[in-house]
Amino acid sequence: MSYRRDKQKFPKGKVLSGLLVLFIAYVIFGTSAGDVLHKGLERVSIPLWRAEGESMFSAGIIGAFQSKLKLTAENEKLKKELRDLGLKLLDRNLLYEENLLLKEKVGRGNIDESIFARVLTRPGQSLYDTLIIDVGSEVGLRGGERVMYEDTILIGSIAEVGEKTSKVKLFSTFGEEISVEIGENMVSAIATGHGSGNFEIKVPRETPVKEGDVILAPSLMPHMLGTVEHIESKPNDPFERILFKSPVPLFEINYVVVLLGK
Amino acid sequence: MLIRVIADIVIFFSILYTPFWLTLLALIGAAFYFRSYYELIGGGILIDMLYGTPLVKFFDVSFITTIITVSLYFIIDRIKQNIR
Repeated sequence: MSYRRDKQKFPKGKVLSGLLVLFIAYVIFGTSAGDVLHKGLERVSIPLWRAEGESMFSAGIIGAFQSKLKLTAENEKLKKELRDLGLKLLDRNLLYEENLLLKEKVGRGNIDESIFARVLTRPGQSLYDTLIIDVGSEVGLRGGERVMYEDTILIGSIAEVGEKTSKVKLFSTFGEEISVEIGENMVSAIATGHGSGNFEIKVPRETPVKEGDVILAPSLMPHMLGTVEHIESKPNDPFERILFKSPVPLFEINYVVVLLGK
Repeated sequence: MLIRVIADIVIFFSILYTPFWLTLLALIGAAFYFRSYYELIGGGILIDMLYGTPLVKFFDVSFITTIITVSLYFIIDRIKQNIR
């Protein structure tokens, strides 16, 4: 004797309730109702994220005391690195001062104000390639401001502003595009994000670009995005692919600088 | 009931602190374990509210996790019905 399972009815009600949930989500995310909820969430999540940052910091200290010898060796190494970096920074600061002086002489001396921000969450905690930072409309952010790492490397822009937090959209997010200039010849191109700090640029073959060339985002004070790491060209393709990666450790980033002028 | 509340708290902290794949695994696991685990959808909404922003890769939709969790809720519900 064989048994046939009853044909299950098409779950109309469930599909409708699913659609209803999506409609509610659309309303929440698309209207000011979302802002009210977001403010409430901000109040709960900020202290928790901050507490995590502090506990990680103290865990780092405890870890460092675990091995005295290791600590001494590391200390020596860091001192040497710091010395080298100090020299490089001195050179860079001299050039920067000279740059400002020259711009002042031609009447373009107004440099964007900036604000230091702590990173509360990094990419990886969601499908969105975003950072959440601890400054918002309270300090005058309005959205669209550029976000830098260590004052020199451009990483993204402010996408959404809350009262005390903001979401930073990374330029390296898959599909995002940004205008760039490559190398000494300032070749203009569009860099497309490939996720996790990776970018791709397509330029016609024979374009004067070589590995190691600096890639800048054009502005009065050009900001660096990275350096050309690999150039891929095929004999039957009139274009070549330039691949590069942002030098910023996006998954370990703790602080960023937000330029207040858009 | 107590286990469910504890699971919800763990998942809430997971949303705040752990990588996305771990949160998703926890949500799926809980959806299989508990009956009518609506928190799966709630978790998706929470993730989108905290981290969501319109991105080209998601066709400028800022509640993609909600869409995923709603779909997952019905898929898991269906699987549970079939294996019962």
